[in-house]
Order: sequence, then structure tokens, then C-alpha cells
Amino acid sequence: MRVTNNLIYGQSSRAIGQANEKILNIQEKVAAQTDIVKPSDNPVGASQVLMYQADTHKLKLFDDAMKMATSNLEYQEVALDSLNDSLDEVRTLFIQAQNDINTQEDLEAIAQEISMITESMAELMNARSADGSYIFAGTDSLGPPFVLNSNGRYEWTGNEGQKFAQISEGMRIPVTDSGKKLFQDIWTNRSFTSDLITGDVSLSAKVQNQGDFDQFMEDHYDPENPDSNRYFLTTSPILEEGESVDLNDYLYTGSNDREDQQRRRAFDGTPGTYSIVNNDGETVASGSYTAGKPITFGGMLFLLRGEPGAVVNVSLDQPRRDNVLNEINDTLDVLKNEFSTPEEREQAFFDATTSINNAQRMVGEGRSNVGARLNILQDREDFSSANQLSNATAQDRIGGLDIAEAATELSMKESALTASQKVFSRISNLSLFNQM
Amino acid sequence: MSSGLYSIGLTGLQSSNARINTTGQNTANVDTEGYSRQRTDTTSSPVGGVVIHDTSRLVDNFVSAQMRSDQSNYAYYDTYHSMMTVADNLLAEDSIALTGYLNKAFNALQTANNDPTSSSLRELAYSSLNNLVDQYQTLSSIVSRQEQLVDEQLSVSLTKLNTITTKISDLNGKILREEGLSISPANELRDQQELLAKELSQYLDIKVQFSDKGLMTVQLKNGQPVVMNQDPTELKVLPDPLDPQKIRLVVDFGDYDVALKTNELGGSIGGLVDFRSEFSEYADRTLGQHAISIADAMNVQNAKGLDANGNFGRDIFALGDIEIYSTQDNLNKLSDISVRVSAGESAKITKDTYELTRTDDDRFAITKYDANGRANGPSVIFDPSVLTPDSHGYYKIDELGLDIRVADFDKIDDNDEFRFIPTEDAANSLALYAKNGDALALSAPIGVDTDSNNLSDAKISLESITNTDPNTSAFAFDATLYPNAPHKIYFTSPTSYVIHDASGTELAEVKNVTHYSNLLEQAGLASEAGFDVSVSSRPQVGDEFSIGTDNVGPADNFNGVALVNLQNKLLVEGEASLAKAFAGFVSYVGSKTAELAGHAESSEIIMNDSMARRDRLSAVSLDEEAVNLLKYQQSYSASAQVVTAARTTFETLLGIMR
Repeated sequence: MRVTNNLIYGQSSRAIGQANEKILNIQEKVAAQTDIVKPSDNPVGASQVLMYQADTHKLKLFDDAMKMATSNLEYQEVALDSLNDSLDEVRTLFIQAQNDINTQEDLEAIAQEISMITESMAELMNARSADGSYIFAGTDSLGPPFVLNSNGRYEWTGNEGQKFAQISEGMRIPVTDSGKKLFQDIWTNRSFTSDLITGDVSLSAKVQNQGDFDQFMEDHYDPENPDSNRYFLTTSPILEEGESVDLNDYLYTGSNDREDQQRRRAFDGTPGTYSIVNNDGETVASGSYTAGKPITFGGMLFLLRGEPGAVVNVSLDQPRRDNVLNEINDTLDVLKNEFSTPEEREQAFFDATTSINNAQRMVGEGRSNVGARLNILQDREDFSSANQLSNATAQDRIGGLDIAEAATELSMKESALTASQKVFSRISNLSLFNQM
Repeated sequence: MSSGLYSIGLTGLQSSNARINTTGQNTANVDTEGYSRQRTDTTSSPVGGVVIHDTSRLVDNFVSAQMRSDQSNYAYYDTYHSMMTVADNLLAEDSIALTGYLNKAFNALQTANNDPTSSSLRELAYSSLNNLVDQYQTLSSIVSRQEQLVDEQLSVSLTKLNTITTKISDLNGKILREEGLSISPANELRDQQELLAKELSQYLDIKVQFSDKGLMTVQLKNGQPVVMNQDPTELKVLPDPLDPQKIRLVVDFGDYDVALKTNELGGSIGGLVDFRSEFSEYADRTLGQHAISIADAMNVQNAKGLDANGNFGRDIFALGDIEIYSTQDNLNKLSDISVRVSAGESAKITKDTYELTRTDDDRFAITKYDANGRANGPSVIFDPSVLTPDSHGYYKIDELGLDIRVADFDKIDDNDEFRFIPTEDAANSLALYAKNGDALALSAPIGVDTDSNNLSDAKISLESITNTDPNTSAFAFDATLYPNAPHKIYFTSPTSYVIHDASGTELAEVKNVTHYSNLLEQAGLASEAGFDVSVSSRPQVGDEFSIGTDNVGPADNFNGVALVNLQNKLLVEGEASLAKAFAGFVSYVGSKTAELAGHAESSEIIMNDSMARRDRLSAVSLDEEAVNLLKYQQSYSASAQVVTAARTTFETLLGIMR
């Protein structure tokens, strides 16, 4: 082969240039601490790294959402917890108040304490988060959801909206619960109304067994047709065959004064019969009637004194929901009124307790809901951090720099450069002209 | 006899002298670019002595042709590659990659969702959206700056190219003259000419041929002449009115132009042209498609909610107008035609070029052409007389996801062509239409309410908002519900319900309900209402649930969550999420660059090899010249000795006479 000057110098300069370029590439990788400095270093890897980065970022976004959700839910949890404690306390005080040895002054004192607790409960229901929004107000979070109106009743002014957080691609959880569900829409004690249509009797009626009555309501209450919620209790003397009684013959005295009561008490007690018919005229219960002996039906108790021959109109009240604060306050009003009868007080205690129980049930449900969501969040956070770790590992596997390899490569290229330089300096001296 | 000896000695001296001259020339030009070593050929004379034949170059035309072709190959890949490295270097940079900006924007939106009532969080989201828009423009400017660079380089290259062709034809004339005067070839001029040809091959892939007289003609690879004998032609760039983004090269023959096929030009000009038509076009359209996807999706989603002021969300982003191109004689018709992307249809937009033509009296066709100019799928034929335009006169072409408006369809003649590329320049023209963070519609437009007198504990919840267009949904312009829209759901039994409007008129009745989600859909009202609701558990007789615009709270983030969730949706062509589409683009750039780097490297090795082959034959070796010098010096001395010998012989003869 003919070796020319161009060849010798060209080859040497190329060799040195290439060696330099390689060292520069390694240097770049070491400086950037990655194997993929430019997408062209590993096009597939580069896009994978980008995808892993995007995925990690998405997870971080969900992490942020979860943090937000957790802090929101924890606020709720704390408020609900305290509320539950308060309700416990109120119930205890009410039980205490039911004790007959309490004087009116004692009752006043208890009522005072309960009303303080009620106020603090109202404060909890109007709880605010760190950013100042009312957490139980639904999405109407700029104003308090429970407002004390001029009648002294707490009124719901929030809405049912919920704030959501997206905690994974397909998962959205509510981070707030509306106070409407938790506190406002609480069933109050179910009740019925009874009035005497005709008959010379004194009537007292009450719910004897709330459970039975609730069940009865559940089974028979018709929200669409108010008339079908009416029943008629009729007492009549035992009649001979073929005898009939015109109800209009009975004396109707609506009054129940002392005279009336004495007259009725004076009744000799001849037993009769009673029957209860519904609005369609079907007899749903019947039995024998003795004056002063209670008649029970569907958890309701009717006590009639006086001779048989009376008609009582019974109608089931529409079930009503209200917040527990109003119910407690109603009971307190009865308590504080020194003229209220023991029956009224008993009923009032009963109403309040039922409301408290129902409220506690909702609060409990709310707490377990919040707890469940917090658990989900915990699980998702664990998953997310594991996922991020695996993303980071995968990213490192694809684009990470193997320091040892890079260092080895660097020294290899360095020695290659040194060798090329040496070869050049040798060759450049090899000219025949030098020897002439 | 001795006079013969003298003349032999003389010719020896002359030839040695000539050879030493040649050696000197070779040695002197050892580093001259394009110099081919020369050799002086001699023949022995039948009458004694040596005859100098000529001094010629040692070249192999085949090796030179090979070298030129390898060089233009290398120049092609090297130019293309070096243009690509700009995009390659920048795209992976964290501060430039779009994914980072997308993440930040969605992150800020998410933060705003935490507290939709906070105007500072809304502003934060707004400014990150602004940054995102800027980033689209930055990326698009990287592409357009490269395009400008290509245009400038191209015009410089063409100027140089035209100068070179002029010089080559000039040299043809000089060579013809000089070689007419001497027996030796015009070595230096030919070297120069070949050097020019080599330089030329860096710009374009050329074929070099020599005429009978040894004059150089240069042709392009496809046979187009560039230098014919002593006539150079001129290459220039002409814009294409139908597609101004494409580069069209023409050969100027003075009276007329001949268009060049721009594919397979080779050389650095070919590299520039291909970069322009393959990569920068692809990059611009990809980014444009991306920008259209996000803008359309965000705008459509934003319209489904209420902004901070309680109005339906307006557009967040604005896209520029789609440019329409046509031939020179139809330019006056362009102002009548406009095209836009149909709202919510961005997934149908492709990177293709669209062409509008007339097929017959009533009907028009839109055909899509891909990057290589091939028709992509069958043409979409439409008849404007059976379509109803919207209030702005736009006809919606469902298959393409485009709205088109033509002021007067009759003006379009049978052979007219109108071209447009929806994705072209879209990333650059993307702008933020919203004026501040209040424009973000985070809240749902309606709220739901469970009647407190309900016997069951079932709760109603908003399931979805699908449409808030006042013309096609239950929502009026002022963000209220039309009175005849569903307002109440009343359960007549746990498994049946009726839907009432605002005045209590029954709209629909559903019986035998098995599940309580999407109640309006079950009633067949969901699509005309534009929303749907669900009930959480089994309701009871008489339960009532209402839907209204009154109980929407300012902290509602129903729509905000949907906005953030767009990042998980397959927005780009319905196939890829925003992040994935961008990663795909990066991967394209990476693999294209890597491919070109590979080609550039291998073509460099091939080029170096053929240069080495040329050098082995034609380059100067100093060692060789040193040996030659000694050799010719010796032969000069020897010839001089012959002359001395002739003289001595002659003197000896004279001495005998004495």
C-alpha cells in the first residue's frame, strides 16, 4: 500500500478527534448522571423515562389530593368525635334531670348546663377548617350552615353538595360531608295525635312502646294519602243480639274538668268492647273494654275513663326531621317551665333522647364513613409510594448511570487518546527528509 | 559519436531536471487541497537519449466519482443530523419538556380545587396555564427558528452552489485553451476543477462526466444538468402557493424554469430540504395537534361548569385561525372560506393536509393527504344544501371534526383546490382566552337536594354533566334550568318514579327500577337534559329529590375535578394522553436523530475510506519524493558525468592527435 502524507496525518487527526469526542460523551453522561443525555442516546428509553416521570408526577398529584383529603377528613373526624361526646353528656344530664327528687332549681341548673353544651355543639356543627371554610356546609362553605333564627331555632342554610378529591385515575372520594345529612335530617320522635270525637270519657294517649310504634309507622304510614293514616277507636257497651247503638246518642262532652272527671270516675265499670278500624272501615284490632284499663295498639296506649260508648280519632303524625339542637331546646323549654305536667316532661325527655340517639347514630355513621375514607387514603398512599419507588427504580434502570462502568469507560477512552497522541508524535518524526 | 553522447547526456540532464521539477512541485504542494501528485513520463529515444513525454496527474476518475458520491451522502446525513440535534438536545431538557409544564398546570388546577373560593389559588392556576401556553409557543419557536435557519442556509448554499457551477464552466473554457497550447494536460486547472466538483458534491449528489474533449459536465443524480460544457445553470427556491411550508427548487434556464424533484437530492441541500419537509413539518403538526387537543378538551369541559361569577365557563384557550392555501388564480376566493375545529371533536383531527374540492354540482369533497402526499382514507363527501349551518354559517363535517364556512359555494369551480392543515402553526397560535383565574369553571352548574320529609335515608347526588349548550340542553343562557327541564324526582314506590318539571308536569315515568344510578338516563331524558343524577340507596314511597341551580355552593369543585382528570384522558387522536403523546414525540425525535447519527457515522467512515483510497493513489508521499529527489539528483549527476565522459573522450582523442 502506498502511504501518503495526507493518509498519515488524516488518520492521526481523525483518531485523536474521535477519542476526544468519546471522552466528551462520557463526560456529559457523568455530569448529567444519566445514561440518556439526549433522546437520541436511547429513543425508546427516553420516552419511557418521560412516561415514568409523568406517571410519578401523576402519583404525586394524587398524593397532594390525598393530603388535602386527609386533612379535611381529619378535621371532620375531630368535630364528629367531640360532637358525639357532647351528645353523651347531654343524654346523661337528661337522665339526671328525669330524677323526681330534683327541685325546679336543680332542673334550671341542669337546663343551663345543657344549653351551654348545646351551644358548643352548634359551634362544632359550624366548624371551620384552616382555610376558614365551614366544613359541614356542603359546598356553600362561606357561611355557617346552622344559623340561629329569631325564633331561637337553628336553621339549616347550607347545601348538600360535596367537595371531591381525585385520588387515583378512576377514584374520586368526597372530602366533605354535608351537615344536612349528618345533623339536620335527623328523625325526631315519631308521634300520633288522638282526639275524642264523642263519648263521656277522659282520654289520655301516649306512645307506650316506641319500638313497636316505629315499626307500626314503618308498616302503615302512607305519605301519599293522609286519610289512610287515620284510625278510629270505638268503645261500646256489650249489646244484645239485634240491638244497635246510635253513636249520636252518646253524650259528648269535650270538657274534662273536675266535675267531668268525678262523674266518669263514678262509672260502675260495666265492661264493654272496643274496636279499632282504619280509614277503609276494616277492623284492625278489637277486644274488651274496661274503664280505666289501657288499650294498646301498635305501640300506642289509650286510657279511657268513663262508660263505654266513645269514639277516638287517632292519626299518625307525619315523621319529621330536625336537628338535635332544636329538639334539645324544645325539651329544655318544657323543663324550665314549672307548670309543665310530669307527662309532658316525660314526653319531652323521651323526644330529646330519641333525637340524641338518632343524631348519635348519624354521627357514628358519619365517623365510620370518614374512617373508611381515611383507611382508603392510607392504602392509596402506601400504594402510591410503592409505585413511585418502583417508577424511580425503573427509571434508574433505563436511564440511570452505571458509575463504575462510566468510570472504566472514561479511563479506557483516556488511554486510547494518549495512545493516539503518542503514535502521532512518533509518526510525525518519521520523515526521510529528516535523515537526509 | 561523441556528439551523440553529448545529446544523450543533455536529454538525461533535461529529463532529470524536469523530474526534479516535478518532485519539487509535488513536495511543495504536499498540503495543497485537491492536489494530485504528478509524474513526468519519459520514453527512450530510438536515436539515443530520453524524450520527455508529458507531466500528468495520477488520478483515478472512478475513485474520484466514488469519493464525491460518498461525500454528498455524508453531507446529507451530517446536515440533517446537525439540524436534528437542536431538537434532540432541547426536548429532553427538564426546563423545556412539555410534560413538566403540563404537570404544573394540572397541579395548580388541583390546588384550586382544594378551595374553589380562593381567588389567589385560581390566579395561581391561571398563571400556570399561561406558562403552559408560553411553553407551547417556545417549543413551536424552536421548530420555526430551525425552519428559518434552514431557509437561510439554503439560500446561502444555493448562492455558493451557483458560484461553483459558474467556476466549473469557467474552468472548462480555460482548460480548453491551455490544453490547446501544450502537450501536457492542464494539471493544476483540472485539479482545481475536480476540487470544485468535490465541493459541489457536498451540496448536492452529482454525477460528473467528461466530454470527448475532456471537459467536465455535471448532472444531478436524476439527470438534471447543472453544468453543460461552458454553460452553467442556476438553481433557485420558489414558494408553492398550495403549500408554502414546502420548499420547491427550480433550475433556471433563463427563459423558463424547470422544477426539481426535491426527494433524493442528496448533499447538504437535500438534508436541509428533507429536514424541512420531514421533521420540522412533523414537529410543527405534532405540537399543533397536541395544542388543539388540550385547548379543545379544556374549553369543552370548562363550558360544563360555572366560573367564580356563577356564569357558564367560557373558553380557556383560543386557537388561531386555520390558514387556507390555494393557487394564484383562486387567491381572491380565500377570504370567503374559513375552517375551524368543531368543539369537542379534537380527537378526530389528524396531522394530515386537507384538500377541499368540488365533486359535482351539489357536492364537495375533503380529502386528507399524509406527509408523503398520499391520500389518507376515502374522501369525505358533503352536500351543503342538506346540512344546516350554525348561527355563524359554519357547516359541521362530523367525520372530520371540522366546521367549514364558505360564503358562496357557487364560487368554487370544479378544478379549484383549497388546502389547509388544521395542526399547522396551532401550537404557536395557542393563546389564553381566559382573562383571569375566575374564568376557571370549577363548580357544577346545578345542585341537588333531598327532601327532609323523605321516609328513607337515600341521598341524591349529581352523577354527570354532559352538555350545557342552551340550544340542546336543559340549561338556559343565564345558567338556570329551563322550566320544562327535569326539576324533581318523585318515587311512587321503591321501584318506580316520575320526573317532574318546574311546574309539576310529569315528564316521564319509570317502573321496575332495579338500580338507582343515572335516573334520568333510565327515563330517557339524560341526553336532552345534559346532566344525570343518582340516588344512594333504596328510596321509599313519597320520597322526593330536587335538582336546581339555587343550591350550588361556591366551594363546589365537581367540574374542577373533571378538568384535572383531563390529564388522564386519551385526548390526542383519541389514542394517547397528553403526556404520552409528548413522550411519543420525544421518542420520535430521539430515534430519528439516532438513526441519522448512525447514518452520518457510517457514511463518514465510507467517505474517509474512499478519501484514503484517493490519497493512496493521488496524494504526495514525502518519503517517496525524498527518494525520488535523491534518485533524480543522482541521475542528473550521472547525466552530467556522461557529458563529462563525452568531453574527456573527445579530449583524449585530441590528445592522441597532439
